[in-house]
Amino acid sequence: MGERSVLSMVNIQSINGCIIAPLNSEVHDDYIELFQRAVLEKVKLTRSKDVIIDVSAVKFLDSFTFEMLKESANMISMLGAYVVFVGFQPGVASALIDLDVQFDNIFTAVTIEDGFELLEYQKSIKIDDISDENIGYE
Amino acid sequence: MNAEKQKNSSSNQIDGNLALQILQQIPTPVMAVDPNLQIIFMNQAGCRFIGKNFEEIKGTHCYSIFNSTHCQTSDCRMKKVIDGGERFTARNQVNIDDRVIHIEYTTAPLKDDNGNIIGGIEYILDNTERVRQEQKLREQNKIIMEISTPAIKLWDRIVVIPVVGVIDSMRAQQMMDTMLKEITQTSAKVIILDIHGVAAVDTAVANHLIKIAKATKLMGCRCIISGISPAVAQAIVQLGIDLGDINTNSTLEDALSDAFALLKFEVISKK
Repeated sequence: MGERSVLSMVNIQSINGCIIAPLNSEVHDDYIELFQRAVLEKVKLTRSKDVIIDVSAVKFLDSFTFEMLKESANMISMLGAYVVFVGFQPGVASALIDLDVQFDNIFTAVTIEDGFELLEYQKSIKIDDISDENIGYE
Repeated sequence: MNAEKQKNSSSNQIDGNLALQILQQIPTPVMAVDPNLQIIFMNQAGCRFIGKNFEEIKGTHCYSIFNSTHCQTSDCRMKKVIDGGERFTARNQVNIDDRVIHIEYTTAPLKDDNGNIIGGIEYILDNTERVRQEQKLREQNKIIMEISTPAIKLWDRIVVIPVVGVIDSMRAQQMMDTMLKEITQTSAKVIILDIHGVAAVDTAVANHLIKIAKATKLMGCRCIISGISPAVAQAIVQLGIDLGDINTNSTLEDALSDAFALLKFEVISKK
């Protein structure tokens, strides 16, 4: 599948150099894989530093799919961009807690506006890290 | 003498007349029907229960008298025992004239000497009072549930949830639901869980609190637990519970100033 065709299947918008990638209401492994590739391609194409993954439409999420989403965030940060998940639904959040998933190394926000703020915050701590010569990203 | 005794025991120890008298005077309705659900017997208590003489109802279909929610449906336990069931007890609601009575009825098949089913027997217990009590209890539970987790918007994007009483897993789940819903509705950035009114904290309660804090974090909101008394702090540490990176405070006041700091608000006195 070419880059363009992958991108056309996932609705990804870019605002002020920030990529906003919304997930569909029904997420399954194949879709996440497609989504992953599309976002990565988009980051490469636009050389964007900020990615917001909007999960507010997602009604059900199992631990495996959540792991895949976490992996996607890792991949995106490997390309040098910062990732924030936005808008986890109450039901999804409590189910994930019951499934006892780990989410210490991801950033989440309630609204997209907070997401922007959190991206700025991430950049500021990253710069502090580099200046302290503690290079490395969790 | 012995032979007479044996004869007596073979005829169920008492003569038929006495048995009928006992059956008639049992203080609960007893009824028997034939396989077509036509009444063949109703004792005195039963007649009083439905307010009619036995002569009036003899031979009529039982469903036309009782008019209950089970009548003429697949729920009818009488039909089930006639069709070969062993014994059933069920709750039901009968409508006699304009009265609505909650009952519990038990049915069993009526068999002849050869063991062939020739109808069904049932006895009825009036449990209107019990049903009313249960209803009251349910309503009270609902009220307690509703008032137990109020979410107060204290400031722009700051929500406080005061917790009073005992936290069990059901209540913790409910608290979590309220909190998470509140976060999406008000897009709160800081949520303060005030456990000032919680009498005791054990491992289970602490785990619930940790879970709640984690869930709020996953939603992208900060959770501050306030109102931790010295005794609770002692208990948590002695139990070896690691609260991780959850913010805790002893008073709601401190929690609020922490929340202001997180949101970069400043309180200045007007001089």
